[in-house]
Amino acid sequence: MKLKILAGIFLSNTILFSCSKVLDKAPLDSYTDQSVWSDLKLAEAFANNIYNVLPTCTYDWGKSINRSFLLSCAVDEGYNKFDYAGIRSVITKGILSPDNAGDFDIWAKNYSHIQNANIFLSKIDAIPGDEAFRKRLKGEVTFLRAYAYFQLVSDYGGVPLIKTPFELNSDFKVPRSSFEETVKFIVSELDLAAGLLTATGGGTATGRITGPLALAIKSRMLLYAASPQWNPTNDQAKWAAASAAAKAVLDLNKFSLYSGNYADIFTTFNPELIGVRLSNKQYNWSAFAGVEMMNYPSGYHGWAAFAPTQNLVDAFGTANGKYISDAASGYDPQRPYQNRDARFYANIVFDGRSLGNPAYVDWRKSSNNPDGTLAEFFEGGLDSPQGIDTWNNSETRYTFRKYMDTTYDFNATTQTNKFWILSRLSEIYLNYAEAEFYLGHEATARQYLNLLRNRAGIGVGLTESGTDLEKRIRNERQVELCFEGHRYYDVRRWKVADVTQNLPIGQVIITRAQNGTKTYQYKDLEQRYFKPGNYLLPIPRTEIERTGLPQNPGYN
Amino acid sequence: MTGAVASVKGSDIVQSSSANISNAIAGRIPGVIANNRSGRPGDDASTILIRGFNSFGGGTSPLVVVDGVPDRDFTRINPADIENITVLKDASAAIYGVRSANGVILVTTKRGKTGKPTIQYDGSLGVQQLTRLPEVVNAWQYMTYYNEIKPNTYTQADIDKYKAGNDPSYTSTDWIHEVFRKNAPQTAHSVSVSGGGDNIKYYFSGQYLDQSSNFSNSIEHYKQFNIRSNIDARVSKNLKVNLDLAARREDRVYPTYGVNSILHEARSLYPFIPVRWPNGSLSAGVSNGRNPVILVTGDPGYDKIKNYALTPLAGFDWQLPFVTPGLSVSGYASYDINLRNEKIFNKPWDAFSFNRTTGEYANQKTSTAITSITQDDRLTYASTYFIKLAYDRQFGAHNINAFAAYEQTSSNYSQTYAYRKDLLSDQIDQIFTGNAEGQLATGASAQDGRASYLGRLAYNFDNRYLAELSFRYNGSFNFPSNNRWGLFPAVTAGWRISEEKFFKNNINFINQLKVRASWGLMGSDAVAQYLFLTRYQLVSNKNYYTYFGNDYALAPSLILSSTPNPDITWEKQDTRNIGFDVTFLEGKLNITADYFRYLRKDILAQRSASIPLYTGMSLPAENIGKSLNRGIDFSAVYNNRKGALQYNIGVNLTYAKSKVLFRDEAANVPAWQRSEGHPIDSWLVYETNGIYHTKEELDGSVHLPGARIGDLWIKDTDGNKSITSNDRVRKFESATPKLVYGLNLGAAYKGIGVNILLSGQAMAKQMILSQMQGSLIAPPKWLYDGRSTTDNPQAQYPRAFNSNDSYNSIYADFWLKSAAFLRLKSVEVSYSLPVQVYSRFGISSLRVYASGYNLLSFDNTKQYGIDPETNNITGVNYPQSRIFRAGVNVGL
Repeated sequence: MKLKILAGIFLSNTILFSCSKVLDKAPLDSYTDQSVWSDLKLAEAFANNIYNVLPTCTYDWGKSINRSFLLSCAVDEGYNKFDYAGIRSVITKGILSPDNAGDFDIWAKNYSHIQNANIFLSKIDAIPGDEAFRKRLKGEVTFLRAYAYFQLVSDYGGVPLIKTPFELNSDFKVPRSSFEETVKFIVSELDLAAGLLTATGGGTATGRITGPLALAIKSRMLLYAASPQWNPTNDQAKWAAASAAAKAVLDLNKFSLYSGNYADIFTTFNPELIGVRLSNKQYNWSAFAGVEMMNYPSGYHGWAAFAPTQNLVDAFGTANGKYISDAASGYDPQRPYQNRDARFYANIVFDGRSLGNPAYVDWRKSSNNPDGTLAEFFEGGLDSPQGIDTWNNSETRYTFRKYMDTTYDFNATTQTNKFWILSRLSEIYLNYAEAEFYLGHEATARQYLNLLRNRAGIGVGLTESGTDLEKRIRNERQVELCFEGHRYYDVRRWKVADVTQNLPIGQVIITRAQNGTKTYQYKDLEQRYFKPGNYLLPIPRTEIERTGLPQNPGYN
Repeated sequence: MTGAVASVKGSDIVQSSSANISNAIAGRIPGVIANNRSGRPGDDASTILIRGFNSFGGGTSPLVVVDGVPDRDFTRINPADIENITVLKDASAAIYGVRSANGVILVTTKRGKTGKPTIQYDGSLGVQQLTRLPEVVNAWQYMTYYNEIKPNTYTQADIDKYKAGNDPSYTSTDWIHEVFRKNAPQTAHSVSVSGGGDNIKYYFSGQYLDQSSNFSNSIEHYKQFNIRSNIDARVSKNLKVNLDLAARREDRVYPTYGVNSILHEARSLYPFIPVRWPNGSLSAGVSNGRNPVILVTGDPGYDKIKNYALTPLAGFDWQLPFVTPGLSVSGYASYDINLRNEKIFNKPWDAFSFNRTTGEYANQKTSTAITSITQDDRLTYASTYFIKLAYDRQFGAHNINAFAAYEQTSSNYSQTYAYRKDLLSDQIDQIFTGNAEGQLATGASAQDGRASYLGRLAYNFDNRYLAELSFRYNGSFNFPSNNRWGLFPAVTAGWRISEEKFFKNNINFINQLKVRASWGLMGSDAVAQYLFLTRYQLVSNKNYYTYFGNDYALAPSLILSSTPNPDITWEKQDTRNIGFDVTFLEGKLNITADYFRYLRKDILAQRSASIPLYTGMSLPAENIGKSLNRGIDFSAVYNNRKGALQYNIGVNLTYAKSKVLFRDEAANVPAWQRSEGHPIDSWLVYETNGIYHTKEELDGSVHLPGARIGDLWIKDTDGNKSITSNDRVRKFESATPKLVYGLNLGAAYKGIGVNILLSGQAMAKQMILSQMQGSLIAPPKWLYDGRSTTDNPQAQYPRAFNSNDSYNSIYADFWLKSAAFLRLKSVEVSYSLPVQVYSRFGISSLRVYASGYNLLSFDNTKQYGIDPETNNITGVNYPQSRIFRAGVNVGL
């Protein structure tokens, strides 16, 4: 009997304890599937994360999907001293293989955004709520998925087209689509997004995807598709499609060339911008690690991480609109920074130019540099290998001025808010001029180039024709869009990279005599290599091992 | 006892000079593989594996149970409080159910004993030294090396000046030796009071430990305060209760820069930059004032972490002879609280640049840091309830020992994080002085819970035939509700042959002989939480924040934590063990040996090797792996006395080798990279024929495009005439050894005592490749001296290279070195003074001792300036410690 009582006590204790639902511990840090896909605000938050497919200025030691500045150093306009993502030891060394693309590779990163977009698109239609809001979100995510494919097709050519989300028990086998199929899908999705976003008024907040941005990316996609890399037969229909797509953006009449200070295009919101991705200064990984810190000369305690090459500097013409190689330009290699295209001054920091606010550069002040703001790239100067913070000196002896806010004390306060340009009207002009040129409409091509050159202060109109005009179109694109992530793809689609990217990149060594006279010595800084296969990136070997997908040429 | 169980006494543990208990068990217990990876104060624990690896996706750490409560940290308990540490290696651990498969470590603290009160004081002073530091190149060698990587980086004129060494402004700095100092003091005091009568027994103790860092002039420091009160009270004839209270405070003060950043800086900083300029001011390093000599000090602020652990437990034991003899009910409850309070204060510091041409100094303070305060509070409270009905009785030759019990554990965690920058001034280190703009306030939460019904029936007949049957029916919160309970049974049996008549009568050189066998089904739920759910979490990585609007406003964004796996369950292990215990020489020689075979199924691992990347899924763990782990452990202890000399010799050995039976691997992965059929742990490396010494060798072999004389000669394993990652080969030895052993020697003679512990490991390999650390890394001397140059193509090591070099800075067998060692882990010499010397002062015992830890090591990595126990490839970490210590025990 006593035993039974005891057993009773024991059991009741046990039940008492276990009644407290000790095993029903819901996660405290997350939303459930049901809640996210029944609430448009949560769905919007999920869509916001997919914006990470877009390039940004946010610095991540070169590791993120955002190859924004890094793309410049993978091509002849830039030099990355620190070899982020293997940019120099692999990419421009011509030894890229399916094994070593490292952080430069975007395959898995883009597909993870595509999976998220596919989840979103499979759920969004069933969420109750405001119809316009739902359509807007759908338009944004449709665009973002298309943008992911746009990046993939630009890097790899045709890729597996995945339009529905995977689950653990899905059939994972998907073949590579052709380049044409991939482009066709991207273009139709961009049209779809443009329609959804235009119909709903789009996201009005700066930084949101809009209908015009979808059309602008479509213009770039079709320009790429019409270019020699993908159009070896010079099919005129492809150029016509590219031209029409560019024209469609122009015909919106929503944007205009910025007529104020040229450098402000890249630091202030202005009517030329079609789409931007924002990064907020407060959330940089360190208070200092903003765009200014990354790009300023070492003597300002910047890192000169992405430095312009002599090759890019030489691409800027003179103020009278001529190439520096043209005898009529008046260019003097021993006075190289005089009378140059206004865009040179707006984009490049060179020896002897003024940079920064005298109030914030006390440590730079000397008898030669009374207010401290003159860049000193000459040997022994503050920004030279013999100066301050010598880990970081610019080996080309230039740094970028583009994107820089030069007014504030970046050493003592936090960084500036910054945007990365996804597209601006100047690009559409250049897209249009190029497509029109290949359609034989040279006058139209010249007309749009002149609009850009006039804005840069070059009054004389272009008269060039034929291959001269082609060269000019390419030079304008190199100069106007430098450091914006275009040239990496331009030299590939023009099929010129095996020439231009097999050249050394240059630096200038400036010696300053006692009397202050400077002499300029132009040297090769680094030989660059480009193998025929490098027109595309290799698909990572680990993916080939999983799937047996056909590898890109040159990488087997 | 019928399982594979081994233990170490508290008196052995206190012989170790290391402040961390996990270091004191290395080499002591057969079956335990303990490796210490760093001696940094407050961060010097060993990683512990019991009989090696069984899983490659889920956790491999054993469950630690302190005084019946799981998941308490045992490594920071006052060593003097430890009664013993017992390791359950085989199915004897199955009673711990879903958390048992990696083995269980049981820690028991001391309790009062009936008798006169005793007071024990132990105090010691010690000196910590680093076991190894690499010797790196000086200024001119550095410049020469980097000129070989990139010609004309430095002028020959400069190199010559540094080489001549007669110009005071051309000096060389050995940054590593500037950052570290030789000796760092360590002090420990502990006192205990214990005793008791028939009704009350008590054990009280306190400990204070103070460890300085081997960083020079550093604020880095570790302090620990422990107090404990274990009280047993007999309330009535049949009812006993106990109340155990223990509290600990751990104070860590660290520099604001992480130890790895500081050491990265120290190894990457040009040796031609001085610590101080000619006028005595500290140099600014190469950028942002990051002179590592400053970084270890308090000038850049501090990172203070205070950890408070409060572990109370109340229990009872009620004997019920009035129901039936041998019956009892017992139980306990504990409410552990752990509060971790961290405060980081950043501020700018003075650091100067020097302009050689103008001779002017400029303070770079403004670019060093901005002021900020971070406060991070993390609170964990955990509760355990345990109640047990036991029956313990002997009927003639039949002994029965049985119980049924219920256990429930749960824990709850919450974090509060706050950050503000741009303080009004760096004079006051308080968060309210920071700017509201850019402030950050956030937090996190988590919880868990487990419940179990468990029981055991042990039976022995005449002390000859022993059998035990146990089970645990275990539920874990970490699995879907329809599938969260599992049954984990075990059977163990023993036969004491030496009790049999035929044995007793015939064999007399063996005093005792027992053979044992066990089988159990054990589980492991050590995997990320909630993988069965579809969960969306707020993006918390700043690099993936999204902003909209003219004011760049932060927009909330959600990320899918992983694709859900609704079928997830625990890992299961079929655990078998056979062994014997034998005693010879009238009990002087004891030998125990075990053979084990663990078959682990449903190993939780991601299918990350086979599912295409283009699926874009973030993968959950799935129950897909299977492994087999087999091995032996062995110990022999010999105790003897000759006149006044008492001595003992012990050896122990553990060998454990795992084999992957199934693991997710890509469909097209080459055979030489598969791990199936091989041990779990491995390196994947290029095989080499050394380095290229001649042009003929280079031209006559397949090589990477652009390879030169002096580069690694990589083998074209797949024979496809090009070097690709396909050519890498798996090497099945890792930094975790497959064989460990210990040798214990002790002797006592008229109050003089000597205890020596040697411990060793074999069948382990570690990659040693400092150059992978960075693009400016200073090479060690051995690499510099042995490098290939145009003048010395017959060299031992590759030409000059850094981390950007894709020919030499790669995982290759060339860099894989044996991590085998035999080290003098611990030595203690003591002298107990004769009682008559001090008895008139009321002292009952007085003992002085001197001891050492990690005094000597015989290994292969000394030539590289690296401790063989490291698992750090580049060697840029806080090294292991050697400790010399002297102390006194006083008993009152």
